[in-house]
Amino acid sequence: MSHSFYPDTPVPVRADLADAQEQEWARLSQPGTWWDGRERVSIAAEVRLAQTCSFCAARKSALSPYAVQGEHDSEGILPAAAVEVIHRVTTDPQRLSRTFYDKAIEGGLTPEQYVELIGMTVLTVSVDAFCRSLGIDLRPLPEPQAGEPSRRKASGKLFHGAFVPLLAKPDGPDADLYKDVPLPVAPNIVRSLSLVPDEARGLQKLAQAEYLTFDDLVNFTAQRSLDRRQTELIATRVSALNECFY
Amino acid sequence: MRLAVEGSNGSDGGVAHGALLSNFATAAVTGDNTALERMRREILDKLGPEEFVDAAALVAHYEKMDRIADATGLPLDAPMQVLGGELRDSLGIGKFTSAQNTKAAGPVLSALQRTLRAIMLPVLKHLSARAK
Repeated sequence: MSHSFYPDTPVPVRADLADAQEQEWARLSQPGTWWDGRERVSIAAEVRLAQTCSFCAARKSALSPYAVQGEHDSEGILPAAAVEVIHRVTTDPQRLSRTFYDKAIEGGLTPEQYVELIGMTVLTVSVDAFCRSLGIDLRPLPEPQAGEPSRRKASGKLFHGAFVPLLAKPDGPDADLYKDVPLPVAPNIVRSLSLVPDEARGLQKLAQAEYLTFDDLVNFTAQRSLDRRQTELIATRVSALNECFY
Repeated sequence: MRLAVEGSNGSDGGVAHGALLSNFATAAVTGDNTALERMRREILDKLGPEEFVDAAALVAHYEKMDRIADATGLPLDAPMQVLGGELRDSLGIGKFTSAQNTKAAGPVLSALQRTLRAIMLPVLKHLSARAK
């Protein structure tokens, strides 16, 4: 039986996976913590524009992304610094560096805005990659919902060993953030978007549907339809192509 | 591991349908639509619809996680740094831009890494064998 988010797939999509993606896709349209609904949907639109952006293509083939001057093909809703982040993260993930992050902050983004921007960008990259892999049309972008961003700061002690601050010891309203992680310390990847706790929560939900649940991560005999070696082979192949050291 | 990092030359690398899954991931990430269409059919024929959906979900997941790790500048977690040092060196992934996010181990940490690897690797190999 087909799922409402995937009525057109050649094969059924697991309900837990389709549910998680559908919920995150709906969240894309709602006011976030630092961006409103219209801006968040525009982030997704920029991800798709980046695929055919002539400036991105020219930079991708240059020795350095900073050697080519030009302008992105953009909707024009978001600030230039945000458009630059979205397009680079989408089309040139192999060359994201400290300089790239520093330029985004110098361009006027706050670290919190940057983190939420990354969360929405990669959500769109991910759902679009799923559709392309299955050979189906991309999901239509949702209608933006009205309302103001909450502008709520993360609560807890921060760790400053990455480009962005990570929540090391969440407390108060964010005390639950790492409660499902079956390790003494949450890995950095789980903490990556924690400066905007709602993005970190969304990431956890989606990751556990697409990959493995937190409990299964530390149980080497756990698997879905593919065995653990097949699972890690795909994971490593994608990461090698993206030149991701982590 | 080499199959995953360097791509398939036709070998499965000891993983059931390893070459097919590696080629599927490659075609999906590089946007090679002709190859991707062929791989979709092969996975459906040889593995099945659930495996096809899970393979697509894994591609989607790592397209996301890789970008998060590199855009936020994540350093390796200490246990990963300790256990994977020689493997990372042998695969040559230290040349990736994102390798700069993790500080190289000094002499004390390197010695600790060697000791811990000697203890932990047999345990991990045992767990891996159980997962087969």
